[in-house]
Amino acid sequence: MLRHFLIALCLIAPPVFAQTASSVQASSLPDPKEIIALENNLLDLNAAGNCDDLGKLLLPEFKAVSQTISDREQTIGICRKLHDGCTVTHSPISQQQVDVLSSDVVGMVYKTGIVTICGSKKANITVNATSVWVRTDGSWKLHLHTERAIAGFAVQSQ
Amino acid sequence: MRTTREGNSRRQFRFSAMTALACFCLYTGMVPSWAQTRAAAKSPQSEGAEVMAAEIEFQRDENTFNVTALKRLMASDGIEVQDEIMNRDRVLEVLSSFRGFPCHLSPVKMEDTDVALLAKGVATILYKATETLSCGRKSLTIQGNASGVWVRKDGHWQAQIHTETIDWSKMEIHR
Repeated sequence: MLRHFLIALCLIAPPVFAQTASSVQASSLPDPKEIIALENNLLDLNAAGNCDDLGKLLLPEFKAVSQTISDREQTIGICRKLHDGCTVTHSPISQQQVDVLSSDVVGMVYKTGIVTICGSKKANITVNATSVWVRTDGSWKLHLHTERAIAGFAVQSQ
Repeated sequence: MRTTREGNSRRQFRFSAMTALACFCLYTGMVPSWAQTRAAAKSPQSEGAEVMAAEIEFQRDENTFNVTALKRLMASDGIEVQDEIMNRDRVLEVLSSFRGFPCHLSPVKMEDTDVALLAKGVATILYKATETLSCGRKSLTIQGNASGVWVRKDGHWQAQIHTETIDWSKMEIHR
C-alpha cells in the first residue's frame, strides 16, 4: 500500500513542485528595466550635484572603486567637493548588461562617458562601470560601484 | 521458517519502499534541496573563505593563461570588465592569444580583502591588487583595485562579473 502511495506520489508530485517553484521565481525576479532606470537615476543625481539624494541610494556598507576605494561617506564628500566649482555631465549608457543574481541582488555592467568642467579645464573620460544593487526593505540600494577609466581619456584647457 | 520468510518479506518491503522513496526524491529534485540545505548551513566565514579561494584561483588562472581552468571558474554568462567589456568567450580568446608570451606575471598580491555575502549563493569580493610583469631584466609593477561578483552554480562558486581598475600613479618600471 505504502509502495503504491509512493509510486503515485512520484508520478503526481513533480509537476506540482515544478509549478510552485516556477511561479514563485517568476513573480519575485527583478525587472532589468527597473535596474537600468535606477542606474540612470544614480548618474543623473551625480551629474546634478544632488549628493544628499545620491547618498540615500547607497547602503551603509557601500564601496566605490576606481583608482581608490571609497566608502559611503567619502563618496558623498567627493560628490559635494566636485560640484563646488565644477559641472558634470554624462553620456547615455551603452553596452549595458543586467545580471539577475537572486530575487534581491542584481549586477549591472555598462559603458558611459563623463565630462567634468572645472573653470577652464575639461576632462572627458570614458568608463566601463559595474554596479551591484541589493533590495532591502522593498527598495533598491547600491552595494558596490566600480569604474574603470578606459585608456585615452583627456584633460584639456578650453 | 515462517519467521524467516516474514523477515525476508519485511526486508523486501522495506527495500521496495526505500527504492520508491529514492525514486521520489530524485525525480522531484529533493536531493538537491537537501544538499542546498547543507550548503546553507555553512558558516558565513566558511563561505567567505570559499569565495576568497575562488578569487585567488581566478587570478592565478588568468596570470598563467590557463584557459581550461578559467573556463570552469567563470560562469558561462560571466563578464570581465577591463578596457573592454568581455563575455567569457572573449576572455578565453584573449587569454589564448597570450600562449607563448615571453613575459611572466607574478601571482596577484591581495590586500584589504572584503567579502560580502549578499544572498544565498551570491557574494562580492573587493581588494587592492598588486602584480608584477617581468620580461627578462625589466619588470613593471601594477597596482589597482579588483572586485568580483561570485555566484554558486552547479555546486561551486563561479565568477559572474569581474572588474579591475589600475592606479596609474602607482605604476613602477624597474630596469
